[in-house]
Amino acid sequence: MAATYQIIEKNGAGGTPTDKTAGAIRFKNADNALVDTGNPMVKPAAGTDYSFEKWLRLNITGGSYTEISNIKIYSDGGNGMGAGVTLYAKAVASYATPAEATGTAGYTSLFSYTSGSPLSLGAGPYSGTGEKGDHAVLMMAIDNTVSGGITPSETITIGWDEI
Amino acid sequence: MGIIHEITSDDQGYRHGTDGTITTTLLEPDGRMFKRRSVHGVGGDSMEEDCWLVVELDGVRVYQQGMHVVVTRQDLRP
Repeated sequence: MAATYQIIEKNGAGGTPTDKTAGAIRFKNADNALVDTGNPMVKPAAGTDYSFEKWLRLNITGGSYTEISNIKIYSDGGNGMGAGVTLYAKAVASYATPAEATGTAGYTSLFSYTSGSPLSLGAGPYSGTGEKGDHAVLMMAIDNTVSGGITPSETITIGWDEI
Repeated sequence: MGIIHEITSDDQGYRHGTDGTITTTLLEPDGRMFKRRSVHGVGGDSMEEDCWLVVELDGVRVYQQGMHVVVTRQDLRP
């Protein structure tokens, strides 16, 4: 047996979870999990437009396991989202209502985190069900060189050790 | 969910990890055996799971997935 899980996106003051294990995550200028064209990011005349934060977390829903440890998040190392678009990431223990990012302080480019150099979301060990490890907080930044429309998609990997 | 290894211990304390086809056995009590799991494609419309069986003894790791076995001191991830 093995642990069963979800990768959840949390929104609102209460951190309402939405299962995003196999679902798209849309960066936008609003705090919701909808994959729609509402509240789009706006190409700035100058400077940078930052998205609202996306708070993701590993949620163990059941199954049978003894211990989980070394939760990590990483990318393939290549930014395929187009010119002027960057994703940033950081690890945060305690949930806070997602807000519009105002800068990159505290963040690192998601694409610098790879399988050989991942972002740690907690060493653990963790047991039982429920949310485990730190939140992965992601946000998107666009500048005035972006093309209009929906960007090409990118994906991330979340991994852990389990016995 | 893809194939997830199962780890068990026998009466002698030996640990066995199997994917149903290949079984890896750790005889030494000071070694470690665990599953290294990952979910790829988060944020997109499709996801894929990986599970590697990892056995570590004296700093050397054996990674097994399917018919592929890697022996190294490196900390590898799917």
